[in-house]
Amino acid sequence: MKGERTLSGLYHILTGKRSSQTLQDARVYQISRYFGIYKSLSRYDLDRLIDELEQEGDIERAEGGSAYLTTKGEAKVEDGRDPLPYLNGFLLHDIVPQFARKLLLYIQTITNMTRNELHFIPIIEDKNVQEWVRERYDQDKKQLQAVNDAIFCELHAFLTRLTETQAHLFVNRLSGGGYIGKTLQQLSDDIEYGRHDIHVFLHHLWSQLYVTVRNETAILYSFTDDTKPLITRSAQKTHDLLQKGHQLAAVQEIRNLKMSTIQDHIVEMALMLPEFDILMYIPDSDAIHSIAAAAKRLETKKLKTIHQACDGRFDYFHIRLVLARYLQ
Amino acid sequence: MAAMDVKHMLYDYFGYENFREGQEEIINDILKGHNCLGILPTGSGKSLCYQLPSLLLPGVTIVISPLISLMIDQVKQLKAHGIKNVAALNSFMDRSERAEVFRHLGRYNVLYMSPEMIQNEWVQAHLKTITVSLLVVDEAHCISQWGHEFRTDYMRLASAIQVLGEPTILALSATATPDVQQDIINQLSPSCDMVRHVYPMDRTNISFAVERCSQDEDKLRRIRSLLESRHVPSMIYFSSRQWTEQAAYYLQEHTKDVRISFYHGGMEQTDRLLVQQQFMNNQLDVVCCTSAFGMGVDKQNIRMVIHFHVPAQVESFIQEVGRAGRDGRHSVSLVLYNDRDYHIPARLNERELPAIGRMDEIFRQLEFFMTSGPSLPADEDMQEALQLSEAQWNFLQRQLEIRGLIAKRKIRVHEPRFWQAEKQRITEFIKLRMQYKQSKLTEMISWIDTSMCRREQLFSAFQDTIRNPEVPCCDGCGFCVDESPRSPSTQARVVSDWQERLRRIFNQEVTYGKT
Repeated sequence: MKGERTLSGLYHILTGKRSSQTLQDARVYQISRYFGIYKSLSRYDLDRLIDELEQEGDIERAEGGSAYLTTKGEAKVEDGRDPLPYLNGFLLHDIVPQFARKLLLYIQTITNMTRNELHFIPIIEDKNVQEWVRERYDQDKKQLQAVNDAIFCELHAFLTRLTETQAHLFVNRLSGGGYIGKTLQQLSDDIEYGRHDIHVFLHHLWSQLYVTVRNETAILYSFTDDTKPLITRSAQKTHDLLQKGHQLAAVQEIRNLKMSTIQDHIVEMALMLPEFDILMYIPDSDAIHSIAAAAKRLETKKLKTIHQACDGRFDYFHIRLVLARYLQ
Repeated sequence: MAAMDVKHMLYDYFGYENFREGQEEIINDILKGHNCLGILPTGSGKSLCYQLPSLLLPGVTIVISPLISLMIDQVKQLKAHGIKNVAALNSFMDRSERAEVFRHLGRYNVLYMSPEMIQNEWVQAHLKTITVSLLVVDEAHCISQWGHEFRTDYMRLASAIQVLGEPTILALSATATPDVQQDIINQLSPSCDMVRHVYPMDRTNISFAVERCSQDEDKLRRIRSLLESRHVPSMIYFSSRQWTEQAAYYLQEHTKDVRISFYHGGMEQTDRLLVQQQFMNNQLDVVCCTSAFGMGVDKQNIRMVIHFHVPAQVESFIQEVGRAGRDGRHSVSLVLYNDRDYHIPARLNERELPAIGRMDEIFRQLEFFMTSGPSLPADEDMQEALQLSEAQWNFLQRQLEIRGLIAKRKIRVHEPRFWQAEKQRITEFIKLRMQYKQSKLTEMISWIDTSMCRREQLFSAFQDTIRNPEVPCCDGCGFCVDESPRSPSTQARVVSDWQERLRRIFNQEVTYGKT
């Protein structure tokens, strides 16, 4: 937050404190995606993480409890492609963990029941979730094996689209069928990332699964909360106008927003709403091919690099759209 | 109820064919309405002694239990056995959760409660509206000042019990010397009509040994070689959270094919649950833990309990060692001791009680609060103002409450001279507790120093005769840990491929080489 806010402000964003200051900070610094993604983070642990970054020379602490990126740190941020595109903390920070808890407990239940293991200790202790799963189980009772197999297929299809490491994390966290899931520490030993990274990776994977199944008519869809939107209200307004057939320029005028904001909305839709057709916003289908090919060849998601590799034929908006849709 | 029916229920609900030692006798006495004191060793299935009768008795069975985590574990286990009408009432529940329990109060078979909770007037008013058939005081040694875990809120239990009509009373403990047993009976049953069921706590399938190490590194190296050569399910006890993590890392680094994790009270709830279940499920071989681990861990095949640090009293040690070999097979207790270790429990003891030398100063502060408002500030502020640890402030607050000076945070007595008088008494009480704890520690250390039979030294305070062990006895009698059982590597294969693991979880055919 450019040294303008204290680390406490950052802490409140990550842990999802609902104060107007926190909400506003999240918006102003465009980090609302990170809102509430790590509710159990302790202040002590955050301070240790900041210490580490400081020792690495990526950030420096300033007077008054704030911190800012050093040139070295900034370079790292620019280098790195966004490893967490599906984080959607502002809208989903409560929804995604709830979805995860329901599904984790349901998987434990159904994989035990289909094996006739009637005695097991639930890995999720939340009473509401247990109640939900119990009701759901009663509904599915007559076709347990079919539901078990369907969930397997859907998860398997989802996981094959991920990297090996991501699939490893996701599967090893599951309990059921005679296995007990791994702790954050154990996963952290497996892939040699910090325990806090694992927490965020898992949150991200569950977010990705959530978004994926919200857009498919799948069994897993029924574990989501479809009353909750996937895109921000502002993006939704833009979306509705576009659906009515308005051109970009017209939408911009009606909404009285900057064109870059409208473009942000469209990128958001491309990521969160797979049925949203991006072809209308791209010069031609060849553009998709060229951009994707350049990104793959150069193994990068840096907009500038791709822009240059395509001889400047496409602007950044087009590149972002293609990356959002095809290369996450 | 015929004996056959009780046995049927044992099988149907709990899955056991036969009772373990003591259970049947106690259950029969309870069903006849006799008050009982049951002293049964850890891991002998104490809780079954009330869980089974609770299904047969007409009214509710109330269980007073000192630890919330223990209550919650018990509720979970009962539910896993299909006994669903159980709940735990504790101060961590929010209002709506508690209201939910009270709405269905009469419907429960078993209701767990903390000792504070049953003293709450509102709770008592509700309890009067239902029939309580059986009142169980778990960990009953907490009631005795001479017990190793004396708790002041247990002391007031006797008066609370009177409110409940006259339920049958069952007091249970794993570790109570004869003095403590008598104290429990005196307090819970004024007419002293309790039937004693005391079962020996010396475990005949455990061998004992103590080894001296001059460095912590030596301890780690010793453990490492034992784990590598034996491959048996083991627990290693430490005095601090930090140590459990460090040791687990060291052992992970330096052993091959041994699956090791740590467990302590500072971990996230989910992860604690996962470690516990992995261990029960034989997915983990070794847990480096603090004393927070073990309550509710009903794992049968723990072969080795190692104490990297010793606890501050023999009773805790017996309890921790008692987690080994519940299946009756040969198991080992090993203590690794370094003379400097003496200071660790001594320091922990000090941290639990306010220092006597600071009492004047503390009471001056209290007097200030007493004159400046009707209530004391919140707990954290009190700790800060009085410079006391959480445990020390809890202790002091309880003392002030018992002596009627305060009620919760409200100040009830405003005259300084009464406070001064109680200061003297509390100081005396602290001295007594200090001495008591010190003597407990000395007892533990002298057990470590003994060159005689460890089994006899350890259990003679608790029972008249020591049974002959079925396994090598102890190092005093010539046993050496290197002779302890090894297990042929029976490890489940480690599945590292996520596809295979996912297929196994969902019971799909495992197809190798395909994606």
